[in-house]
Amino acid sequence: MSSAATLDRIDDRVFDALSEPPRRSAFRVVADRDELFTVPRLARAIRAAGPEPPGGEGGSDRGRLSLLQLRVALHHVHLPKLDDAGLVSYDRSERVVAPAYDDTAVLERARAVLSTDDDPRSDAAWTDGGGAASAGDEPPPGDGRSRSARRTGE
Amino acid sequence: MTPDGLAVERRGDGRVEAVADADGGPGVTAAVCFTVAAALDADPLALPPLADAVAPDGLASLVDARGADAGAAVRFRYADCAVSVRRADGAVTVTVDRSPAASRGAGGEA
Repeated sequence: MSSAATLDRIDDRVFDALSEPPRRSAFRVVADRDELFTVPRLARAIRAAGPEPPGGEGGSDRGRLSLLQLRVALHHVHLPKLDDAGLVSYDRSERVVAPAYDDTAVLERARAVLSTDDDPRSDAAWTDGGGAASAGDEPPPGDGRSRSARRTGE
Repeated sequence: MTPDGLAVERRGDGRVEAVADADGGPGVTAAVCFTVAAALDADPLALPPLADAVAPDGLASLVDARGADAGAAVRFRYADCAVSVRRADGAVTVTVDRSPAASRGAGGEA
């Protein structure tokens, strides 16, 4: 019973932290590459990783944040939120983002949630199971994560 | 350093006021960040995160809710400035006052 309450609290944190597309993109990029990012570099990496909804294709740049606005939104809103949730580590004065490792339950849940998202590229990165040959050089960190990810994926 | 859709004006009384276009302009939190940065002649990234001073989602919905009430303003302090935000006819107006009384606080700029 108390563990169900704990899972609920984890879900509240994870869903709130990942409720906006730029935060999902930021978490994916940082956790996936497992390296440090300055805010401008992270903004460029998010853009390079693909289009973010909502991106009204019709009106040129309208509806899509400029790179300047994305940097400002990351620093002022999204990275503090991801940091508070334990999904990344954000040094507010140096403006450097690092992967977070401490709260494994939250990180596992976030990965499981995102693996059901509709982005096939990130999918491959999170499911270490069948056929993810493109996952690269790094060995899968452990089975606990893949098992829970798979269960949620059904 | 301001985005498209945000018109920043320095007023005679030392305040800085910015109006964000209702259509295509920056959202409430972005408008606040850029206007405070303009008032302080600072890079918006050099300011402490706004989310550590006010809850961004709460700010946006409160501004919308009060805007329905004849354009009443939401006021708070951030980065040693007095900030006032209101929405009227869809457009968000941010007013930032960094008067000596407002800017002389604990800490200041490094």
